[in-house]
Amino acid sequence: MDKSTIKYILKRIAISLVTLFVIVFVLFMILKLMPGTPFNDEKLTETQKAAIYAAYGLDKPVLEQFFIYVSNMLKGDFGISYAIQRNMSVAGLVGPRIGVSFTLGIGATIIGTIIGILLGIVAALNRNTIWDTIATILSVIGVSIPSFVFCLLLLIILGVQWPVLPVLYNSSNPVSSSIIPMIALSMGVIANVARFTRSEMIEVLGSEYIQLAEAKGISRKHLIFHHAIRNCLIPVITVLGPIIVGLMTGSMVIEKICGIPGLGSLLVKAIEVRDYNVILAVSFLYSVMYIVVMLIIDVLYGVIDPRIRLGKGDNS
Amino acid sequence: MKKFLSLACCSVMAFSLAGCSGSGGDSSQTGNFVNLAKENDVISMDSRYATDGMSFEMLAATIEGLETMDADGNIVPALAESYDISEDELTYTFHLRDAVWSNDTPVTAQDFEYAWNATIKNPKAEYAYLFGSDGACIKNADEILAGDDSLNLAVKAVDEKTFEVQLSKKCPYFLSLMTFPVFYPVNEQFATEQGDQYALTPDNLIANGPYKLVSWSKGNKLVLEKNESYWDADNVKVDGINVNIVPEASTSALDFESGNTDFTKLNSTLVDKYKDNDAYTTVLEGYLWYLQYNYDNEYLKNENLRKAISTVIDREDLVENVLKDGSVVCGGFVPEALSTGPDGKDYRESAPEYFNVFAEDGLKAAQEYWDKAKEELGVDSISLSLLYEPSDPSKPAAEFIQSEIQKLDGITVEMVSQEKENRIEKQKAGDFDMVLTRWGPDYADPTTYLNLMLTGNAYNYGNYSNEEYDAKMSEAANASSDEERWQKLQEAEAILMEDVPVVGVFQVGGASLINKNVTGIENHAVGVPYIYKNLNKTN
Repeated sequence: MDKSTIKYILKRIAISLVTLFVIVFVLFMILKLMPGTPFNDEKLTETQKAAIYAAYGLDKPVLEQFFIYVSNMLKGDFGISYAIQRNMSVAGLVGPRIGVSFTLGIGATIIGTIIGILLGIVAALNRNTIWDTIATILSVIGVSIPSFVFCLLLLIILGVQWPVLPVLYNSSNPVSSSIIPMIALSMGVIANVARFTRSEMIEVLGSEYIQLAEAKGISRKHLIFHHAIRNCLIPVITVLGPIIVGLMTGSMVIEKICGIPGLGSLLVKAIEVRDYNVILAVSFLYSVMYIVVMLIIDVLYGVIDPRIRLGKGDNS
Repeated sequence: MKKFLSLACCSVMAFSLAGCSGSGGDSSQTGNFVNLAKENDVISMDSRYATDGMSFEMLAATIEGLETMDADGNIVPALAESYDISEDELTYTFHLRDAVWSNDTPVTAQDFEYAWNATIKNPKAEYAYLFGSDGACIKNADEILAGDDSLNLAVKAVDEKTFEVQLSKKCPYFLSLMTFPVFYPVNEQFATEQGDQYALTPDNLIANGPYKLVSWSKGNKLVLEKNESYWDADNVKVDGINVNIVPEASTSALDFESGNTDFTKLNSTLVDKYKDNDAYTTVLEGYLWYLQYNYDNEYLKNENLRKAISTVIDREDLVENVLKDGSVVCGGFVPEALSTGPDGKDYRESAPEYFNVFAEDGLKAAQEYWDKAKEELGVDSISLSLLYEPSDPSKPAAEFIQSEIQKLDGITVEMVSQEKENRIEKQKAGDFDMVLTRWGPDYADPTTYLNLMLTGNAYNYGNYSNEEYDAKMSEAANASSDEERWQKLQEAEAILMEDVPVVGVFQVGGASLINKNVTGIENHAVGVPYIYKNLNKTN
């Protein structure tokens, strides 16, 4: 890694930190403006409500609450949950779910990318044949049918009709109970990746350097695996970024259907019951992940394609 | 690339192979376990903080209070082997049996004294109000709730096994409240040692009830195992319970079909699919959805208009063809299966059914009331708003009510949809004409509903006031016998149903699937929704 790349990365990190601060501030203010409260029992009297607010420090001026929150956050204390699990530390609540969502998301991305790239290559190499048509049909199905439909279908087939896999997610047996949701989640990835790989591969195969290499007598296998694939991966990586973040942050619907204790379902629940600290922590985590993944992808461009010079490109 | 591909293939295969090794449940678990699917996770295993049904169920499975409920809803002894009531009915003395916590320390009267004072003095404890005159009427509770820190609750551990409670006034349903988790004991020494971590994980918890919590994977699963040190362990038939948290009812129904889940609730969209299944069953829940009229509205002041609206809603059609989830028509302002009278009968069984004319007859009767109302009010057409919350079952019910009321020529119903919290805010502010609202019982007595309509009650959002009704309720409170009290309560309800400030629309039902081999899933309309002590599973 050269100096300009390192400088570029440092600069990006600095910008990210400022962005994160702004995100936390805006989120905090929005949450305070949101109608409702985590203590929404109809039978609570106003006096009791005021006492609860005072006990949790929610009666202080909003700005003061914000600075208390940020200073605690810098010490690694994200507060406690009010409504999802009363008095549990948010870190303790969110922590175990990160692993669950990450494993699922990364698993689905890996499965989806591999199958997607293979499908795309097969389609491109056999353009306008039956294989191309099959691959295209598969991609269209993958894009147009929502993942939860696949999920339910797989649950019925593999969980009930031929019960080889469990229907419910089980945290003490996460491998077998993750397969169905993982496959369901990967369908969208397969479709997207296959489409991009196919069109990019066709373009690369028609380019002059490939024709030159062909003219030089390089074997077709070598040509495809060493020259073509590498170049057609760049746009694939561009689409992968948001897909990875999307999957890692958890697919709310799939999590709900399979009963997976991931981040997506936690966020939805937290918003429903106005559990402020949980909403803040999960949203903060999402922002961090998005920023980090985007940074990694920008750096990866340079690694895959030396023509892209990060530092210089950024300065121009 | 080749390496990458082969690595990927291997990992996919490893996943698939691992998948074949087991389906559902814990392969390491041996013994007779019942598998329940529940929609929500536990919010708090600390009896001082718990306010939701799921937390109540898990607390009741692991901790016992002074009293509990049997399958039929009768109050039966739990940790209190017996009790004495003073002649003026203001002092209850409980005699505790020999029981131990799962850390081998004895359950004592001090555990109750500590827990109760710790709850009422904790501003974060939402159900502390149940100690006051809206609940158990324990002496000094109202003063402490109002902020007087110098007082203690008038409860006393006379000795290790004797617990005395003094009331500020007679409380006929006091024993039924003793089954409520907020009145459970807490072991002071253990709770103090755990500090703010108390009850957050299985390690920070101790049990004195039929089961103990051995694992709790948040948002996914709880595992309960039989508590061998429980005083009545001989009568606990199963080795434990697996509680899977499954937010989506269709998934738990699929798991039920696969044979792994023994009990799951269904939502109304699944009822049609499973209603002919052998395992299908319905239970009644305590919640009553009712329509409340605002007396500050110039039209709704008119009794005939209120009667017209109350009569025109074909509630039978609503529960049978719209809700279809086991909900039932409520014939008054006190739901079924809530309370048993001195005659041994359910309150609703001995009280009359009100507004029980349906279909054509209902429409005809309603039309007559509406004609009278039009004449008295001097109008031909009016417009009223209906406040409701856009969730199940409120939304379909509200839409049904709108279409029913609009069958009366000249009434237009304008729908006002607000999330639950905002609905309550609007009710409190009196900003509604009619509202479809609900109430869950605090204790097994008709007054948990009837008190709501007293003049000036905080939940009497429609500003109803009738001296005759207030007087009747106070006569009931001071009645010399249980029979007289019951009679007065039914008379009070009759006054209410003549004035119709509210009309009960439906009582919530729960449709569920229960494995034929599993017995002892005991459902209650008040307090702890399900008690699992008597679970049994035959193979």
